[in-house]
Formats: sequence, C-alpha cells, structure tokens
Amino acid sequence: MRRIDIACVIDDDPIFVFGIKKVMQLIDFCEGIMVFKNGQEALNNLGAIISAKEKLPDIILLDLNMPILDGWQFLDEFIKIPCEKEILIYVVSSSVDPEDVLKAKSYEGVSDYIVKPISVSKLKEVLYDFENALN
Amino acid sequence: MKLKKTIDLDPVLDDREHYLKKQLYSLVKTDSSIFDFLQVGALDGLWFWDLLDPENVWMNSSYWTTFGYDPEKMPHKVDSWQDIVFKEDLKNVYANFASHSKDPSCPYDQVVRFKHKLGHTVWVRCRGMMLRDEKGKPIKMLGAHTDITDIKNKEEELRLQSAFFEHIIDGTGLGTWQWNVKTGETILNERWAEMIGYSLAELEPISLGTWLEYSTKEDQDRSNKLLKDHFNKKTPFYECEFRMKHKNGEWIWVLDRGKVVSWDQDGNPEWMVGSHQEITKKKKDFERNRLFIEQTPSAIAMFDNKMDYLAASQKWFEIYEIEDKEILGKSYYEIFSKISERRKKNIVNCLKGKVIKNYEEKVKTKSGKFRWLSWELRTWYSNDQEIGGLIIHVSDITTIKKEEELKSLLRVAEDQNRRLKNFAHIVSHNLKSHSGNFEMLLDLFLQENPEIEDNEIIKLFKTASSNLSDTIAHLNEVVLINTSLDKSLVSMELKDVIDEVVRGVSAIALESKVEINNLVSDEIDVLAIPAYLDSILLNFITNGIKYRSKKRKSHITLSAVKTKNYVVLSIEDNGLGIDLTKHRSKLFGMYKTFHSNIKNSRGIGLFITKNQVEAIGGKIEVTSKVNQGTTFKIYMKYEKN
Repeated sequence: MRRIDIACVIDDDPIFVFGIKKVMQLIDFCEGIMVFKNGQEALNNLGAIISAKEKLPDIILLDLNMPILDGWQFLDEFIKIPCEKEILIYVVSSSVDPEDVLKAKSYEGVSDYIVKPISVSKLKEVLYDFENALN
Repeated sequence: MKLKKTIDLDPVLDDREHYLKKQLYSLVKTDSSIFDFLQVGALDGLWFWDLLDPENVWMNSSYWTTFGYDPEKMPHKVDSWQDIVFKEDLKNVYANFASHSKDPSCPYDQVVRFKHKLGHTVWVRCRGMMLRDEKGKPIKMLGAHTDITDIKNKEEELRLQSAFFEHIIDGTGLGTWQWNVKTGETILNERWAEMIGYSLAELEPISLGTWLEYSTKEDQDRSNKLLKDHFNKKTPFYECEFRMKHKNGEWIWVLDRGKVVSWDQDGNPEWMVGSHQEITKKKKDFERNRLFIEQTPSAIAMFDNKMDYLAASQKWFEIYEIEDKEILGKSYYEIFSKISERRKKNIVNCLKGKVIKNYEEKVKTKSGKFRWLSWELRTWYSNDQEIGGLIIHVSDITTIKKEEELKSLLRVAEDQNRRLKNFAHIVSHNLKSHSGNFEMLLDLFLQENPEIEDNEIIKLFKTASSNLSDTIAHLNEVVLINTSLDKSLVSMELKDVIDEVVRGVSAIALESKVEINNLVSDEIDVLAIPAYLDSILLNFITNGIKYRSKKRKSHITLSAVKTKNYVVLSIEDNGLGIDLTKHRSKLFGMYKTFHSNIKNSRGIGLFITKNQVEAIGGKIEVTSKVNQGTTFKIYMKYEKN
C-alpha cells in the first residue's frame, strides 16, 4: 500500500485551507502539506522544485477560481513542464457547472473533480484511490 | 345688292305692272334727270358704243372715277380703256362679244379686271347689250359696269381662310366630323377613317353608328355623359378621350373634341362639329408613366405648381389612408384637410426650387394610428427648365422605428441578462464556497468535539447550514437551466420515459397508496433534454403524491395528445387542488408553497419545472379545483418528419 508523502493544496481561501488541513490530519492523509495561494505561486515553487530535483508532491488539490493565475491557467502551464514523477491532480471547486466538470475531465492529467465543501468521506475516497492505484 | 339692280330696258310694260313702275318708265322717257340719277347713282360705269363707227364710245363719269381717273380728261375713244384692262381678261370679253353679236340670247356678261390709277385691281362685272337695226344687225352697244372688288376681295379672303384651315387639318392629321344631333346625319373626312385604317368608302354608309361600331361601350357611356354636359351648356365644349379599334386589330387612342354650332329655337342642339386627334403614343407614354408611379413600392405623388395631383402611387393612398381613388386633378389642400403651417411653408419654399427633407416625423393618420414617416419635397422642372411643380416622396419607416425600439429593448434585456448571469455566477460560486466552508467547519468542529453534538444551538446551527447549502444548490440548478438553453434536444419516446420515472417512485407511491396510470400511447415522441424531462416528470408525479387527498383513493393519470405544434401531456390527479384564483400568479414562483400542512414542501419544484419546460421550448397550463384535483398540461415540441 502506497502512502501519500506530500500533498499540495492550491487555493486562495484560507478557511478552506484551514479546513482541509484539519481533515487531512483527522484521516492521516499524508506526511506533509504544501500550500500555495494561487496558480502563479504554485507554478513558481513547483517549477523550482523540479529544476532543483527536490521532492515533488504526490497529489495536488487544485482550486479553479483564484487570483493572478487561476486553476485552468495553472494546468495549462504545469503540464508543459517536463516531469518524471506522476502527480495526481484533483480539481476541487465550488462550481457545479457541468461545463467546468467536462473541461476538467478533458485534461489528461486531472484524475477527478471534487465539489466543495470537502468532507472527511470525500477525502477518504481520494486517499483510498491513491493507496489502491497500481504503481 | 348692286348686282340685282340691272337696268331693265325692256320697253314693254305689262298692265299688271305696278303703277309706280309705269310712272318711272314714262319719266325716264321724258325727264332726263331721272336717267342721270340712275347712271350716276346706281352704276359704277355706263358706256355706249357706236358699232358702226367703233372708234367712238361714250363713257359716263362714274366709269372713270371707279378706276381713279378724272372723267374730264378722258377721251370718249375706244382705246382709252384698253391700257388699264387686264389683257388676260380680254380673250373672254372678245369671245362673249362674238357670241352675243351672233345670238342675242347669249348674254354679254363677265368679270373684267382693271388696273386702278393707284395700282390696285378693280373687279368689274361688265354687262352689255347690242342694239340692232330691223335686219338684226348690231349698230350700237350699251354697257354697264358694277364694281365687285369688295365681293371679290371677300371671296378671296374666304378662299384663303378655308385653304388655311384645310392645311391645318391636313397638317395636324385631324379627323373631322359634323353631326346633326337632331337628324343623326353625319359627315366625316377622309382622315377620320384613315385614323382607324380604313377609307371613307369602306365605312359607307356613314352614320353615328360608324363611331359606335369602332369604339367600346364603356367609352361610349363616358362620351355620352360628357356630351350631355355640353348640350346642357355646362361645358363650353365637348372633350373626351377614348379607344377605337383599328383595322389591324389594335386599339388606338383618340382625343375627340367638339362643339355645338347651331341650336334650334327651343335651345336644342342641332349641328355639332368636331375633330378626332390620335393620341395613342401620348396615351401609352402617359399610361406607362402613370402605371410606373402607381405601382412604385414607395409612396410618391407628383403635383403641378398649383399643387393639383398629377400622379400618385398606390402606397401613397395606403400611407395617408386616402379613400378618394380619383384624386388626379384635385388639389393637395383639398385631399388633406389638416395641413400644418410648417408643411404649407415648406411647399411654398419647395415651389421656389428648394429641396426639403425630413428623415423621421411622427404623424397621426386619419384612422388615428401613428406612423413614422421619412419624406422629401423636391421640385420638378419642365423641358424649358421652368418649375413644373413638386414631387413628394414618403417612406413609411414605422416598422424600422419599431425594430429600432425592439433592438434597444433587446439591448436592455441583453444587458440585464448579462448582469443576471453575473449575479448567478456569484451565487453559484461565491455563495456556494462560503456555505461550503460553513458546512465543512461545522463538520470538523463536531469531529473534534463530539460531546456537543446534542447541544440545541449546534443542532439548529447544523440545520441552518444545511438549509443554506440546499437553497444555494436549488439556485444553482435554476442558473444552470437558464444557461443551457442552446443544448440540442433529443427525440424520446414519452411513454418509456414516464414508465422509467414511475418505476423510480413506485416505492413511495405504494406507501402513499397512489395509483399511477400511464395512458400515453407508444408512438408519441417528444423533443427534450433527457435529464430535464426526467426531472419534469418526477416533479409532477411526486407533487401529485405529496399533495394527495387523504379522504379518497388517490390516483395520478398521464395521457398525451399530438396537436399541430405540440405534444400535450396531461397529468391529472384527484388531490388537494390549488386555489387558482388566489395563487395562479405565484404558482410557478420561487419558494412559493400553498399547503402549510405538507412537510417537505420546498416551493422550488414547480419553479424549476417551469424553467425546464421552457428551456426545451414548451409551456405549462394548469387547471385545478380545491379538494377535487389538479391537471397540468405540458406542451412539448416534437420532431416533424
């Protein structure tokens, strides 16, 4: 069984970040958490990690609606960066617009679309999927 | 009158003669002053010629004064007059002289021209008689001159005049006619017949019927009316344009004009004369122009400089709602009773050569409707560059104006819609994330502090939070309906879809003892978005279950009919019913509930349903009676072939 070493949360809402950290602790989701306030910050830092060949997160929980660089823009840029490690990306958004859901699923790198609010059970599912995924 | 006063030299007097004549004759014989008076006063010249000594001839004084000579100075010789006589006339004189001398019954009587001393010609009727001896040999000759110059001049004048008129008639190609209104006698000239391709001989016998034969009944009636007006002296002359059948089968146009020239004692017309003028080309040109203007798709009218109508298009009549179809020749001011001072001023200015335009003007028509008109007043010039009148061109821009108004309304609606969408987005996203945070935090709080789960406030807090999330979820549903209008519709078999939904609610239906009958036949398909149709059916059926009457055995019946444009699905129940007089207006409103005693009545179902029905191009009708039941009729589109 695999364990999530580092989880990355990209979200501008501090309450959500606070909440998800709590849930992660509760269910022992991962070893460490990386938080970025927007797409640009995430891109800069993750890019730096890749070039420095440091430890990348195993999983990214990405919000869509963010200042500076939103979730979509982050995705468009991030997939261009060559990276050996396979990172699971989950879109986590309040939007229930089917267009957003369909668009998210059109990205090869996006595993699933989670509608906020996040809850213990939803995160447990993510964890279960990760632990039981092959490879 | 002079002509008749010849001197009667017959000496034989009849007993029956007047006594005064007898006295005069005897006086002539005895009193020479009588003869003097006659020869000076009654004649323009007297001569007495001695045929035995032909050198001698006696001429009286008026003989010479007629030609402007002084009788005192003129010799009584035969050659005295030969210089002033026209040589051409002498031949005739000699011939007559010869025949008269042979045979006294052959009159010596001819017209001879003399040159007056002043140069002009004097026409003289010259008569003479020979006096003979017992053997009948001529010995003397008595002659008398009568000056007929005046008559000759008049004759010449008349001849010239008549030639002049003949030339005119010839030159203008006029057909002429003379008609005796009383007897029907008709005289036509050759041109009259030629105009319609015949010779006069071909048309014989000529009568009024000749015209009737080559014209139309309709024109004849019109002509008769105009004739009557002229006979009654309402018109100074008769004038009428009509068609005549040419020999070649075509119709020609003729302008007929005439005038009564003599009347009988009772004032009835006798002779009438007139002319035919062919105006086919003019008429055709005019007709073409008239048709061109009449059928122009815009409103246009042409006026002369007195503002009388020359032509007007059909559209002109329509726009101004003019009922009088015969406005040509009538005044602009007569047709429009109310004309603004500004318009009058514009017309005056335009008749001076100014072009006046107005791109939009709101006018009230006769029937009280408002029209938006765009018009132009423009001067027209005749061939000689004189201002002939003006042309008014009007466009009805009412539709354009209405479209403009609609467009501006549409812009407002689009703007509002955009703002609504914006608002919907805020609702769907921002509110949802806040309520999501609430829910999440509350969840976490309870996870960390499980002991306070029974706290009343926390319980209510949880309910409030979940209600908030629900409400926002409903709003989201609605927002999504409105934003998915353009999604393509799928044709579905209605009966199958209903069956599927009914299966889904069978447990609740069974529990609530509500019988659901699907009477929709197999072949009815509707166009819908599958998820919407499911949602619509589910909502109506669960409503039917929820608002059933506990007082009777409940049922819900679904049936459908196909009309020209819609499939009409009826969903009928025998439940509680709705008081439509009170609630119709807010029946499909958001968060409206009408049955306080029913739990889980959220007041969102019908609102969403209505939006979904409308999103697939349908509509809903409702009839209901309190405590008897409700029937919803759902109109949905279907695929036509």
